[in-house]
Amino acid sequence: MTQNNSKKSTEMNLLTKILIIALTIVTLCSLALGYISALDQTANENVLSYNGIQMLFGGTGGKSASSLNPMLLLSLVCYVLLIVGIFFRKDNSFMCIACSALGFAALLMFMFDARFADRREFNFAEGSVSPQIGWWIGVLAALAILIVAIANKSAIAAAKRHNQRLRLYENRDLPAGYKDPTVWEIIKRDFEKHWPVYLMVLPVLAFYIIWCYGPMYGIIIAFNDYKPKKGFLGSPWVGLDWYREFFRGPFAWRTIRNTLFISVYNMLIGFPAPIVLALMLNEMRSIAYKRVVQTITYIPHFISLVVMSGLLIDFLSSDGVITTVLSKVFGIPAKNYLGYAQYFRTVYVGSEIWQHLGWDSIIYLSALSAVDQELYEAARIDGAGRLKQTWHVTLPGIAPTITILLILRIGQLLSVGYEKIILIYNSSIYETADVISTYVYRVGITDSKFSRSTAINTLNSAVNFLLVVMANKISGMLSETSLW
Amino acid sequence: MAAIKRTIGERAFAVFNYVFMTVLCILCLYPMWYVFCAAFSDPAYMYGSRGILIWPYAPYNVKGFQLVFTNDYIISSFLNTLFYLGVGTFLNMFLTTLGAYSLSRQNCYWNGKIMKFIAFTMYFQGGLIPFYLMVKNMGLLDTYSSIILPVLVSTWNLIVLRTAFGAVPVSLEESARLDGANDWTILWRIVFPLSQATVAVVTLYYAVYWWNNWFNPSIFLQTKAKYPLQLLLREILLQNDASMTSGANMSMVGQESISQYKLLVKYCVIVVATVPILVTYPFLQKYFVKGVMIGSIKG
Repeated sequence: MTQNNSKKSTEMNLLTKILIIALTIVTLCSLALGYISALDQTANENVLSYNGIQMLFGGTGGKSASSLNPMLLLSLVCYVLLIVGIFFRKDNSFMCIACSALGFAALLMFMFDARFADRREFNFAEGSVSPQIGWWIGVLAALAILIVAIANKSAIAAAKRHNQRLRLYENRDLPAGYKDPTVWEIIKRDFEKHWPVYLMVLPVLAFYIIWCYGPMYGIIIAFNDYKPKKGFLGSPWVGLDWYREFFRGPFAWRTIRNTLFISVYNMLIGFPAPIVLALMLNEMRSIAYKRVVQTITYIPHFISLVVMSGLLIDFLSSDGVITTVLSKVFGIPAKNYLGYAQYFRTVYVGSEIWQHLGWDSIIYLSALSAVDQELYEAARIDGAGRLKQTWHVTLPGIAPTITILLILRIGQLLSVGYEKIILIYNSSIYETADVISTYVYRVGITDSKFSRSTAINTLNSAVNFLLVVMANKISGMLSETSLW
Repeated sequence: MAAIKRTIGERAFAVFNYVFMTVLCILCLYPMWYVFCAAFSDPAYMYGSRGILIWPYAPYNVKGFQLVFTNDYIISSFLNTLFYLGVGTFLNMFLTTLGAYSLSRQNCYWNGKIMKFIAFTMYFQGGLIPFYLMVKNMGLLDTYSSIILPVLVSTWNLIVLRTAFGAVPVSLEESARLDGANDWTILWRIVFPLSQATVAVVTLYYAVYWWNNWFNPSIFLQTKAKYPLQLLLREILLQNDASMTSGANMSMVGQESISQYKLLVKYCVIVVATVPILVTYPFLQKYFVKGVMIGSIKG
C-alpha cells in the first residue's frame, strides 16, 4: 500500500492545465488587442492605399480583404488545437509544446512582418503599423506556455523514472536515504560507461550538424533580402514579402497546379500498375519464364536519369523512334512531343512507369509469396475460380502492404522528382512542366535570386513535412509499422 | 494441381498473360537495343531518317566509338567517376558504419535523442539554395570535396545498417568484452562481418548513387576536367555540347558529316555509359532485390 501511495502522478496536473488555458486566453485576447489597436491607428491616420486591417488579412490595395494572413491563421489554429488537446488527451505535454512553439513562431513572424511591412511597393505610411503592445503580450504568453509545458513534461518524465524504479525494486528494500538519480547523474554515469560509442558517433553527428542543420539555419534568408556581402543576418529584413510576391505573381498557381497534377497522375496510374504486374506475374505457371520477365523488367530501373532523359528527348523528337511508330502504325502526324505542353504530363508519367514498373512490383511479389497457400486450397474447395481467388484471397492478403505504400506515397505528394524534369523540359512547355522545385531551381541557381528561391522552397518543404508526418501518423495507427 | 480443370476464361487469360509479358519484355529491352544498333549504324543513313531499327544499318562502323574513346573529356570524366565512386563509397561506408554501430548500442542515454535528431533531416531539409550557399561560403565551389563532403552519410542507409547491426546477438558482444575487446574491435571483428549481406546492399546503394550522380556536380563544378561521367553525358546528350565533335579528332571524319557524327556519338556515349551497369547488374541482382526488402521493413 505504501508503494502505491508513493507512486507519482504521470499525468498533467490540474494546476498546469489551468495555467496553460489561462495563458492561451491571454494570448488570444492580446492578439485581439493588437488587432484592434492596428485598426485604431488606421482609422486615425487615414492611410489611403494600404492599412492595418488589410495587411492583417493579406488583402491588396484596391480590392477588398480576401484571404486571412497565413501566419495569423496558423497561430490561431495552434491555440485551438492546444485547448482541444488539453481537454481531450491524457498526457498532452508534447502537444502543448508543439502547439505553443508553432503558435509562438507564427506570432513572432507575424510581428516581424508587421514591423517591416512598411516598405517600397506596399506603400505603407511611415510607422502606420508598429508592433502593438498586444502582440508583445501574446508572444510572451506563448513563450510562457512553452516553458510551462516543457517543465511539466520533464516532471512527468521524472515521475515515470521514479515509478519504474519502484517497480524494479518492488520486493527489495531500497537502502535508507535512497534518492532517484538526477538527470545529470544519469548522463554522467552513462558517459563514463559509453564514451567510446559517443566518440564514434561524433563524426557522423558533425556531418549532420554541418551539412543538414547548417542549411536549415540558412532558411533565415527566406525572410530577408540576402546580399552575399552582408551575410545571413546583416541583410535587410523583409518579413513575408517574398511569399506575398510569390502568391500574387503568375507562377504560384502554375507551379502548384503542375506539381499536384503530375504527382496525382503519377499516383493514380503509377501506383496500381506494379500491383497489377505482380498479380499477373503471380498467375504465370512457368517459373523460368517468370524469372526471365522479372529480370528484364527490372533493367530500365538501372538506366541512369541522364541517359533516360537523353533517350526520351531523342525518341520523342520529330524523327525519333517513338514518333515514327506512332505516325506509321497509328497515323498520328509526326512532331516533337516534348515541344508541346499538352503532352508533357503523359510523357513524364509514362516514362516513370516504364522505368520503375518492374522494380516497384518486387515488394508486392514478396507480399504475394507470403499469402497462406492453404487459403487458396480452401477457396478452391469452395468452388472459387482463379478470378475469385485473386479477388477474395490474394488482394486481401497484400492489402496491408498496399495501404502502407499508398499512405507513404500520399506523404510524398508535393515532392515531384525535379531532377528529371530539369533534364527534359524546355521553356516552351513550362506551362505544364514547371513544378515548384524546378521553379525554385531556376530562380535560385539560374537567376541567383537566393532569397526568393529559398522562400518558395521553404514553404514547399514545410507543407511536405506536414504531409509526411500526417501520412506516417496514419500508417502508424493502421498498422503499427510507422517510420518512427 | 495440374489435375484441376481450367475453364475457357482461365485459359484465355493465361494466353493473354503470356503475350502481355512478352510484349512488356520487348518494350523494356527495345530502347537499349535500338541505341545499340544505332551506335553501329551508318551515320549518313541515321541522320537522314531514323526509323525503327531491328539491326544496325549497313555499312556498320565503329567510328563513333573511336571518337568517344579518343576524347579527352570522356576519359577524364570516366576516371573522375571512378574516383568519386571509390573514394566516396569508401568514406560513406566508413562513416555510416561508425554511426550505425554507435546508434545500434542499447542503453545509451543519448542514442534515442541522436536518432531523432538525425531522422528529422529526412523530413525537413534546408533546401537547395541554403545548401548551395553553405558550400559556397565554405569556399568549396569547384572542388572535388564539394561533391563528396556534403553527402557523406545517407540517413536511409544509416537506418538500414543500424537495424542490421542491432540484430547481431548481444551475447557475442558480451563474450568478446570478457576477452578484453573494446568497441572498435567489436565493431570491425564481430558486428561488421556478421552483417555482411546488409553491408553489401548499402555499399551497392552508395555506389549506384555515385555512378548516377549529376545534380550536385552540375551546380558546384565549373571546371570540365572535374566533371563526372553523368554530367558530361548531360552536356553531350541534352545540351548539344559541341566539344565532342570539334577539335583534332574530328579530322577522322569529313567536315560535311559533323552533324551526322554528332548524332552517332550520342548513341555511342549512351552505350559506353550504360553497358557497364547492364553487364554487372545480373550478378548483383539478388543484392538489389534484397535491398528493396530491407528498405521495406524500415528502421
